[in-house]
Amino acid sequence: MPQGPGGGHPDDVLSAYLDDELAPAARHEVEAHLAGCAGCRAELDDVAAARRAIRVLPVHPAPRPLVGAGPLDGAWWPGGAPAPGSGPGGRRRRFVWALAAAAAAVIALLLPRDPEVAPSLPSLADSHAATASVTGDPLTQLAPIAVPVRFGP
Amino acid sequence: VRTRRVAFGCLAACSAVVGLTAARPAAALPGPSTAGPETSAVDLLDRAREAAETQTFEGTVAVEWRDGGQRHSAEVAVRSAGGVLRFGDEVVGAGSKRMIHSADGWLSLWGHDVATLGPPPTAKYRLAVQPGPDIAARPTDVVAVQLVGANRLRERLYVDRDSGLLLRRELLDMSGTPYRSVAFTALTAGPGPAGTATAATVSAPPVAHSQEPTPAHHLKAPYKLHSRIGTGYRLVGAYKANGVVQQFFSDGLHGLSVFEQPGHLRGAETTLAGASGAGRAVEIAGHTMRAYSASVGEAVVWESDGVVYTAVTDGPWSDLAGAVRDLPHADPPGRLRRVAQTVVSLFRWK
Repeated sequence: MPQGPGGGHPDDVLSAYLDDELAPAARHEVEAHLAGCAGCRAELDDVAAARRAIRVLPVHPAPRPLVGAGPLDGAWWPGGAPAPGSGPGGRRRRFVWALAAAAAAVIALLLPRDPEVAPSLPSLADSHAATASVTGDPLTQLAPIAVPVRFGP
Repeated sequence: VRTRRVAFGCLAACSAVVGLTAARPAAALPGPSTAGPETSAVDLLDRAREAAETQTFEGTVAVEWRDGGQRHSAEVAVRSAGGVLRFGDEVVGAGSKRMIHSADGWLSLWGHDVATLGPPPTAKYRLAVQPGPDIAARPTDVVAVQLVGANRLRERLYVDRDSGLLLRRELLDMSGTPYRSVAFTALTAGPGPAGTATAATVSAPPVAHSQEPTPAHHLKAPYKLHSRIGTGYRLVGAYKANGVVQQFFSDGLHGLSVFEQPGHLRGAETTLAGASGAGRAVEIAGHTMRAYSASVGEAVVWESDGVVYTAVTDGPWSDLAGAVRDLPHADPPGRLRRVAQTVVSLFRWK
């Protein structure tokens, strides 16, 4: 018999039973359980009453930002009508949002806020020597930047 | 020119005063001293600076340096006449102008006088004058340099007794061995056939490009002026060129430049010597940085709070490390933090 987490009572399939969505064998098992369980019969009556009450409520479209915003989108729309945004247009919007988020992530990864800097050491050393040669001895300050670069053996 | 002469005048006046104090430590150092009381170490150094700009001479200068355990050396021809100092075909100094030859012609690196020459060297060093050996077959007086309160020699400067030129300058390691030096190996000085020929051939080249920095008296964030850093380095001036801010410090004998560029460090393009390489990792104030050694001196590159710092000095490595400790050196943000900063910046009101 279909059983729910409540300890043998088919709480989680009562809704499907009301919607006639259960397979014949499962449906027979539920009916057999209901015949001998007053608690489940009362639960079934409550669920059925709640459904009737909800179905007489007027239908209001959801605010636009909620369309396509969650996992319940389109799955629990009153009256069984397809929710706005759950059709082909909604899927397209979700795709665009996902694409934009992915693009933002890629941009964030590839474009650091500050530029990358690779100091040119020879150029900065030349600038230092030029400055130091004006305030200090020009002979010994300038000669080091004039020598051809030759490394020892 | 007038500003520079005023500066030299002030320095000469100061030198006359500090010369008296410099003569006292000279007696404390070992070795005989033939220099008269009027010839103080500071006077000698000041005279050498002026001689390099005014004397007529030509010769060869050898530059030696150590990079880790490897020794390097190179030579360059030097000529000077009419106030133009020329090193081979690469570098020229004329008055306050400094030019270097590049692939696109002569590049001007400096073009204006400075208002100050830095602190007197006697604020940090004990200077003593002794008779020195012959350098390039010319008798010298040697200025021995020690830190105030220390016993170890840090540097020697050999000054030509006749021309006043600085013939050799060497920095010494802990064992007293030179690890970086600039020295004449041959020299012909003064008027004469060689001097006349030099005067006829030395001239300032036409400048094709300029990279001269302009003084920056006020800097906005993230830059911050430091009046003094390290062991006795005082701010001489702040400059800006091509988006790079340079703060130049002096301790009276050596210069130390701190270059600042906004951004994240990608890695230095080349070593100081111009060859490909990534330097060596050093630990300063608990942070790992890249260090480089070359003929020019020592350099350290690091990043802190979105600014890339490059510190260069012609002084000892210990001076550079001490100065870096006084500068910002926060750990660079990780990639995740940078991405977060970037995303947040997209939604930040400007």
